[in-house]
Amino acid sequence: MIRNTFIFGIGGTGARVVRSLTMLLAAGTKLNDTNKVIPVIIDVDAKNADTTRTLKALEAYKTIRKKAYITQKNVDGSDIATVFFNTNLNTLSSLQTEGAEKIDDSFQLKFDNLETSFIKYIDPKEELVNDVTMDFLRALYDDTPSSHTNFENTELNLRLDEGFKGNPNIGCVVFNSLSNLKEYQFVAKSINPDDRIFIVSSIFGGTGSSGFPQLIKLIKGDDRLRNIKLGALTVMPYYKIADKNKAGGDGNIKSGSFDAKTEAALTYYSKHLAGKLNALYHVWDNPIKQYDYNAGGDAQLDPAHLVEMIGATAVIDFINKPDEMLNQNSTTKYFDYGIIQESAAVDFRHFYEWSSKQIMEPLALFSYAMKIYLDYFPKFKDMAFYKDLLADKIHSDIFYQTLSTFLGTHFKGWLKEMADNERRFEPFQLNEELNSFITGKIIPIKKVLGVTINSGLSELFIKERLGKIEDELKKTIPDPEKEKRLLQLLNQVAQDCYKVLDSLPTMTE
Amino acid sequence: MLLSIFSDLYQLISGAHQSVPDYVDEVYDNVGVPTLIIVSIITAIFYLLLGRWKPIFFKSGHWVFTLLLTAIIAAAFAFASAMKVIGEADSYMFRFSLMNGIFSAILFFILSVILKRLSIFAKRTPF
Repeated sequence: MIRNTFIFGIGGTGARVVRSLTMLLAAGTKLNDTNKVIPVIIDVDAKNADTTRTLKALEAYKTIRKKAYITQKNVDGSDIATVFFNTNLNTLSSLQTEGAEKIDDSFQLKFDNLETSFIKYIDPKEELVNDVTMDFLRALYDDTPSSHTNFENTELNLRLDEGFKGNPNIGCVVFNSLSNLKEYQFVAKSINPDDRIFIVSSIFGGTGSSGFPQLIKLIKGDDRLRNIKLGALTVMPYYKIADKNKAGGDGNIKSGSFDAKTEAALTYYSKHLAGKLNALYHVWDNPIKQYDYNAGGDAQLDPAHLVEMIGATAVIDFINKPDEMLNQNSTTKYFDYGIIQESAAVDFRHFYEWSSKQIMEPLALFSYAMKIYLDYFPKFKDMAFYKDLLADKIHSDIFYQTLSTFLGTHFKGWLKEMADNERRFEPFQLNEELNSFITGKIIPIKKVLGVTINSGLSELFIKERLGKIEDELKKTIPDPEKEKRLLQLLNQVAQDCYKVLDSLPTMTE
Repeated sequence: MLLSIFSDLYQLISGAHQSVPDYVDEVYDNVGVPTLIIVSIITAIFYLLLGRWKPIFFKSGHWVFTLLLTAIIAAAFAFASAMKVIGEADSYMFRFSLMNGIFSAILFFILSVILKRLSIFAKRTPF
């Protein structure tokens, strides 16, 4: 049965997990029985750089897939296991929904009327100024001493379009209006009974931890959606934030309160959400890395982290679970994630079989393709395949520019950030040659009597494969569809590289 | 028929050597067909053998080198063939050899245009 899956990424962490998911799906991670995956990014912090970056990656994915993807089948008619950009990752507006108001072609769900402070949001006409309710609101939200003349930093005066800055109590007030948004109404009308919903949020911030329970409440309160398969990932603390040490800003976010917030939220979830979800995934790590203090906006550009990628695997696991595993009414299945061995630096050897096969193998293939495209193609400008496919287009055509940006900025940037973060996820040696590209497994160069008889993934090998694959592809994919040929070329040359590698490294090697 | 074409061709491009009929009777015949075969073999090696085997000899520089090599081989072959029949070098023999070299270069170019589409690595060589 073919279905759509709607993924709500709430807040900065939600956006970062969706970013990781975008990379894994670009690598060709296979989703069973899936027509479209519709990511919906929900973040009130309109300028949040994490969110902006994720949206750009999603747009690039969509552009590349639309222009270059073709379904590849095995001889027996089954889908080939790994094909880059295999999943139809698309926007809400790509769905044909009768009776719904037209919406923007965007991956983001936009809140209205948030360009103001919290107090003006709940009291736009200032009717409560001298009312007793205002005293109550002050008691709830405002911890500034009464003698203090500057109220700029208090919660009541928090600007909502900069995010909730770790205040879920404010967030849940705003998220109460979620059902009024036309994008949400569009989702509600678009979902079919066999579709699935997955929600990604953090538990220790403001936006995610307040939006998650509100969204569950909305879904479960809708007759059409009440019995839909619903999964969620709650990301628990995995990094710290430095205390505010620069002038300006607000200093509202303190990582010292992350654990207390997590505990409070978990208690709430166990009381109020148990049984409402079919599957709930938890992921966390001992916070090692301390990020700079950024109170949202375009300064909040946190580097990608292994935990976010593992979070993205939860989405894949949920989508691939057969219906019968999620059918137990009023029972929530809980899932955690573990690696084989505790280590400050994680690579392919640390993952169990499911992850290795479903996630890491496509990741290795796509990384080979990225490496070849970025590092080898510029050296091959005199090759026939380059002249045929790229020479006159790579600097002018929007598709080729998007592909270069996706591979060079989004995907490689994502890998580099994870490799530089703590705990490190470094499955690739990005600056090494292809024979030493996979951490923990060097492809040997075989010599007999000093003569090289097998040079592994040498430049000559790559050139030969590129030329021969392109020659074959040209017979079936005509010149007007060169973009499709290029993507297939990358796909097949990556598979040839993987054949030489033979398998990913394991702990026993 | 083919031999007659070569006689006419060589007399056209090198001029006729009236005092030595051996050119028409023997040399043109002995040079023309082998030159055609040699150039065809070299072009086939460039485009079909090396050009489909590995990307080691396919660039424009390689093509120019092969063209010059073909011309030199053809000129040397023409000179050697003429020497063998005539026994004494003269200015016509040098001109005939040079023209055979130029002829083989033109032939190599024409065959390149025909055969390059059958190549994998040299299908965009020389253009």
